Amino acid sequence: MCNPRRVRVQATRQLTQTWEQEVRRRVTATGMAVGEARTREPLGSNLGAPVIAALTAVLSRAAGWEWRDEAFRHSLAGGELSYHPDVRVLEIVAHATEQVSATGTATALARGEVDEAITAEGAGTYYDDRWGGTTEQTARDDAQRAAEAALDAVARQRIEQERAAADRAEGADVERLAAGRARQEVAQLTQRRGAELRAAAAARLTQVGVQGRNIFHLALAEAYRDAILAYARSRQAQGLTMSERDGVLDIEFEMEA
Amino acid sequence: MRVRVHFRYRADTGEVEVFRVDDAGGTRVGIDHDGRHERAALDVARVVDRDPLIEEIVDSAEPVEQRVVAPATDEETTGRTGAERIRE
Repeated sequence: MCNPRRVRVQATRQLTQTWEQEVRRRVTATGMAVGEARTREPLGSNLGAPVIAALTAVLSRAAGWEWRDEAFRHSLAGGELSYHPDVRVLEIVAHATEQVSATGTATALARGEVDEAITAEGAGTYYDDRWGGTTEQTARDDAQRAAEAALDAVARQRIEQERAAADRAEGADVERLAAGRARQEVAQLTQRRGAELRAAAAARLTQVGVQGRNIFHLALAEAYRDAILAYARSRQAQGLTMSERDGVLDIEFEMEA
Repeated sequence: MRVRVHFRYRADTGEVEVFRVDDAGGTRVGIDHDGRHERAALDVARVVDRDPLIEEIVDSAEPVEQRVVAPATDEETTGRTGAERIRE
C-alpha cells in the first residue's frame, strides 16, 4: 500500500423548495383575585378640635401608619385600616386574596420559498496499487456521492434557517397575541374569583375590625393624652399625674377655675 | 377656686371612662361658685368634645363636683362627650 490519493468533487444544485413554519407561542399570566368587605365608622362628630389636631400629629409619627391617598393607613393582618381626616371616618377593610393564573396560546403559519444555487464538496480516496479495490473512478464516485449528501445537508440547513428566521420574525406578534389572551383570561378569573372571595372577606371583617379598632384606639389615646396635657400646661396645672398601663390612660391635675 | 380634673380613657374599648371635674376647694360656696365650676368643666371638656354636656351630680354633702363622661355609641367610634356635675 502506498500513499492514498484524494479526489475532490464540487457539486452545485439549484435549490427550489417551499417551506412552512407553524409559529406557536404559549404565555402564562398570573394575577391576584381580591375579595373585599369594608366598614366605615364616623368618628364622634363632636370630637374636640385639640384632640383632632393631636390625632393628626400622632398618626403622622406613629409607627405603622402612613399617609397615602388622602388618608392615614395602617396595614392589618388580612386587611387595612384607614382614617380619613377630611370626613373623620375610620374605615376597616378585610381582604381575602388568591393568586390566579391562565395560559394563552396563539399560532400563525408562515410560508416561504427558497430558490438559490447551493454548492457542496465531497472527497474520495484511492491507491495507485488498487489496495482495497479502489481506483480513481471509485474515488470519484465516492466523492460525487459525498458531495450529493453534503448538498442534501446544506439544503436541509437552508430550509431550517428560513423557518427559524420566520419563527423569530413572527414570534413577537404571536407572543403578544398569546399574552393578550392570557391576560384577558386572568382578568375574567380575577373578577369571578374576587366575587367569590367577598364572602370570605366578609366573614373575616369582624376579626380584622377588632384588630383595626385596637390600633386606632391606641392612637386616639395618645391624642387624648397630648391634647389634655397641652391644656393642663396652658392652665399652669399643678399636681399633674399621668399613667398609661394596659391600654388605660389616666390623667389627673388641679387648676385654678 | 381650684378644681381637680380626672380623665380616664380605655384603649381596649375606645371609651372615655371617666371625665370628672371636682371642686378642690379654695373658695367658699357662694355667688357664682357653681358658674365658675361649670365654666371650668366646660373649658376642659371642650378639649375632647366640641359641645360637651355637663351634668351636675348633687349629693347631700359638700363640696360640689362635676363629672364629665364620654359614652361611645354603636355607630360612632368615639361618642359625644357628655358631662355630669355632681353636688354632694
